[in-house]
Amino acid sequence: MTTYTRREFIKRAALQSAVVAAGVSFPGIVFPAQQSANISGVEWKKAPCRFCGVGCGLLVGLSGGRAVAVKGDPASPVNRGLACVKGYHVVQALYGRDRLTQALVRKNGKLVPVPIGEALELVAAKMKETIAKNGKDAVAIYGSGQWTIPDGYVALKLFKGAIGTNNVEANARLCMASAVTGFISGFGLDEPMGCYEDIDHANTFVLWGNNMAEMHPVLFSRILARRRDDPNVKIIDLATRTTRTSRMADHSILFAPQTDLAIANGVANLLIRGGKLDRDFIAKHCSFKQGKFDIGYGLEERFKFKEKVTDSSFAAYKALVAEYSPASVARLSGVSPQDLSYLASLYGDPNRKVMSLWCMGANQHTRGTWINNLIYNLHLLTGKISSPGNSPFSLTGQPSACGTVREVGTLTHKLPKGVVTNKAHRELAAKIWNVPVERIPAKPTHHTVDMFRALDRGDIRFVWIQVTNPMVTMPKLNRYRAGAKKDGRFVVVSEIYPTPTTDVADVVLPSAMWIEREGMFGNSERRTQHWEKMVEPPGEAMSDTWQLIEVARRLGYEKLFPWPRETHIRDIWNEYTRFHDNPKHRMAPYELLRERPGVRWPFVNGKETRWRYNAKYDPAAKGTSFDFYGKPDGRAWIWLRRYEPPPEMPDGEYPYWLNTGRVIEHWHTGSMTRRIPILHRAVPAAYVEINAEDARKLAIVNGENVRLVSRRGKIELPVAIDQRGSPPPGQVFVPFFDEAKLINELTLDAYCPISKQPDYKKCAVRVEKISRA
Amino acid sequence: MRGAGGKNQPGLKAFRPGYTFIALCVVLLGALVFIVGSVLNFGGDATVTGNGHAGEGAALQLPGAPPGGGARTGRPMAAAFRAAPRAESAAAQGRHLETFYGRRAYPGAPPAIPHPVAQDFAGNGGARPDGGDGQGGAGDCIACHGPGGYTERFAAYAPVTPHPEFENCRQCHVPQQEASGLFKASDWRTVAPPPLGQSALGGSPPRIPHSLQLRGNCVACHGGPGAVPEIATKHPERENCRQCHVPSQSRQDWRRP
Repeated sequence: MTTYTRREFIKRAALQSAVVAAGVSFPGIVFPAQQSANISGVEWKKAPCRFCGVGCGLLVGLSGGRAVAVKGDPASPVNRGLACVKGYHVVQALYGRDRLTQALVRKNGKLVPVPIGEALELVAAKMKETIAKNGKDAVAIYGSGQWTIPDGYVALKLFKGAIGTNNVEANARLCMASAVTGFISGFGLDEPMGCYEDIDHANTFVLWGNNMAEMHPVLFSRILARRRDDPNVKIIDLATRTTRTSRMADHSILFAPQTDLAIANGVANLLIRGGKLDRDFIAKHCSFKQGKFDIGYGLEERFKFKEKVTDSSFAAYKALVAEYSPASVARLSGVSPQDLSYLASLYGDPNRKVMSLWCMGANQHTRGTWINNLIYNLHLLTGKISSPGNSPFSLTGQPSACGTVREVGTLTHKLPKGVVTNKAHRELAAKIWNVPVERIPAKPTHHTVDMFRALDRGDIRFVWIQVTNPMVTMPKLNRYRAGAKKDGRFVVVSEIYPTPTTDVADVVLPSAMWIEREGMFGNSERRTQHWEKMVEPPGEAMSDTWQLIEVARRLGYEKLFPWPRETHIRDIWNEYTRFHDNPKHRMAPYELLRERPGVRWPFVNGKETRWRYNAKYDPAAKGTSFDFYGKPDGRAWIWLRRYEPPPEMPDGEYPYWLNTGRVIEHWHTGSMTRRIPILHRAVPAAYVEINAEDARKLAIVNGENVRLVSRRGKIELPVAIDQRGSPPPGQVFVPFFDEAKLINELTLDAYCPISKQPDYKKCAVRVEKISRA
Repeated sequence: MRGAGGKNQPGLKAFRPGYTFIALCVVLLGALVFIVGSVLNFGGDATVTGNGHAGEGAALQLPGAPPGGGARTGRPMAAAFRAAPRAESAAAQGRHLETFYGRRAYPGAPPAIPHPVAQDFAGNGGARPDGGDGQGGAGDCIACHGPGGYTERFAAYAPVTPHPEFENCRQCHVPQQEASGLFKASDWRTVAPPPLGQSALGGSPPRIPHSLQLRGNCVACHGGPGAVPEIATKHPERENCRQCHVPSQSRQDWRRP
């Protein structure tokens, strides 16, 4: 018989009476003696969802050493018990029959199984050999926003602190880099000022190029619930194609690709002309800044860009946005003057609390930093920021793009605190890591696109890829695949299933995924979420963290990676959080993370900070109102940015815009979701959405195969007319999850020169009818 | 509140002073809600607890309060029940408990949509004044799955949704192209659904063997037109299901502290 202390008993009794009252089955308690193999005997443990950046709290049902079921965690303030179809079936991603359970090494052109120790030995030997022959900057690691926080931290420490190269990048560069540069340029510190609670306070939701119903469905449902409770709530969909979000919005405004820049400036112009500014807020809390114009697109080999910031003024800003009159915005974007003034009336109405939300539409943009700046401008002009319900909110795509890539800093220019170019930041890292400060190079090396170009050129000879599938996701894929396959390149891939990326690997390391190991993710609202190991990984599969530690030790860095296996996640957390030990970024202690369904940073005096830069909520803010302490002048920066066209636009030869993206059922490249039966059967293959009018002109019908051709590649796809989404005339859309239909062979590797994030949303293609001759 | 009501993590060993106080508050709060809830129930009105929209800081948030589908019992549910065709409709179409669980990856999973759905069909609408799709609500999921009943389009009886307050139906429910087969074979295994008729004394009313999270409306599965015969109620005339059937939160007997 189990015995309880009095306190334990009271705790259990309290919980039981409360949950009985609330009418739910209590998810936590299991009595082994009475456990049976039906659902009532299942044990439930908390974990953040494996998939997107929303970071829903899940309860994973466990029985007989396996994950058998999922519930939304009612205790999670993120999702309050709800999940989406991916989350509800995420546990099935563990059990695909072709799961990698052994290490593979390429011998005579074929991947053959070897004991994992032998593979780790080979990886370490190859790294040593490459460094000896080609220098430290010839080895690189390419990770992911799906790396756990300990994965990213160990990778960063190994490459920057032990080996001494800044060749660390992550796929979040393809996903969140423009959001980061938007935050840094505007506020000096990364990540949102607000949090998801803003949804409960706002009454106006403007979605900038964000198909939230499919990409952030749980948060979108929270917005829909807000609207059901309050008829005054408006959801405005600003988009380049009609989606499920458009259909559920109160108003959908379609615009021509890239012209979001003009629309944002056009709204600002109307706010100024209509006297809808919060002049007091602007005078006290904003500065006006101008950067370079005509900044290029990064298409040239070894492209370099350096921003030049100059002080500007309200007068100069007013003159710049005056160029974006309703008529000129309408000409560029196709948005009517009525719609533009409607948008301005929402942002400018003092009785409206406005949330702007965006994700890949704004970030995957050759002017991604600019459009992020321009959305913040609207909130700064109206003082609608850093207070409940007034919130420009940059949504993230991946479960730990924030937690790992942005907070740990797994990018070439970053350190856990600050940047490699800053001496004080390097010194702090050297101190915490106990390495000579000279070992951390002061100069960033390659951002992601350039890292794969460097692999192709031969500047990089060894790359270790973890938790991502670049042979599906790199734009202009044909070049980078050929580069990775060249002689003299050594590619290591840590994976859970065979993918097009393991196809080009020299070594494949089998990874333990998600609940097969302990870890933490950090979501879009600065919430860090911990989960414990719940099931054993298959075969010899090992967590990415431990793979890195094993190799680091084989490279002779045992002293830098001394943690015992039983406690290494806790030990890593305790070391890592020393970087953030200040009121602007303090993280919760490990023990608390184990206990709670996530904790938001800054975690100061035992409390989460919900609204940063607002003295009412943020202990780091001085004074009684707002304090934008990330910038040396204590102000938020309003940027003078203009519309500039994208590098490639439809023309006579390639008359259609190509847009790419996701569908709700599939996560990224489908390596997990396609192995989940219900998700694969829902969307078994990629397709191309085309406007009905265009289809009629081309004499093609629904379901017919057509050929899409760009300057870089061609593929055949079945046509979808007025299906899930409907592009306007002159545009096509293709989801990128299907490894048999590699749409990224067609996309362009142009990027935002400031953030270096590629634009997957715009390039030119033609649509060819396939003749049956 | 969060500390007391959060996870029962095995790693959580240390209790801070003040826990007892918090726990007692929760007990009292729980008891209060229980009493109030019962009163409302016997008053014949539907009580919906925990609509899932209280902020984290809200004073009355219960640990485990479900989003949607709380204790939704009583007259409206029974009225819906009476309005709906009898359970034989499912059986008549050859739908049985096996079919019911066959649409779910595990007991409690959101079921897949077993009929064709137009891809452009957003699925939302019922709660929107204009129906959400600009078509006055006709043609959305709620049009059939709100009231339930026979639909000519699919020649089938539509089950009632237990959570009509959620509008983005296809966030969780997706149609299947069975012909596409699997991408790769799966070794997925789950557990058996709860056994039926778990009554404590042989003839006593069986307990509710599953979580009520998102499934608080008994009619949806046990009485509506979609009910399969094995779990259809035999006494539809009774209104207050949870007068006799209670969820089982623990298999531990009570013991004096």
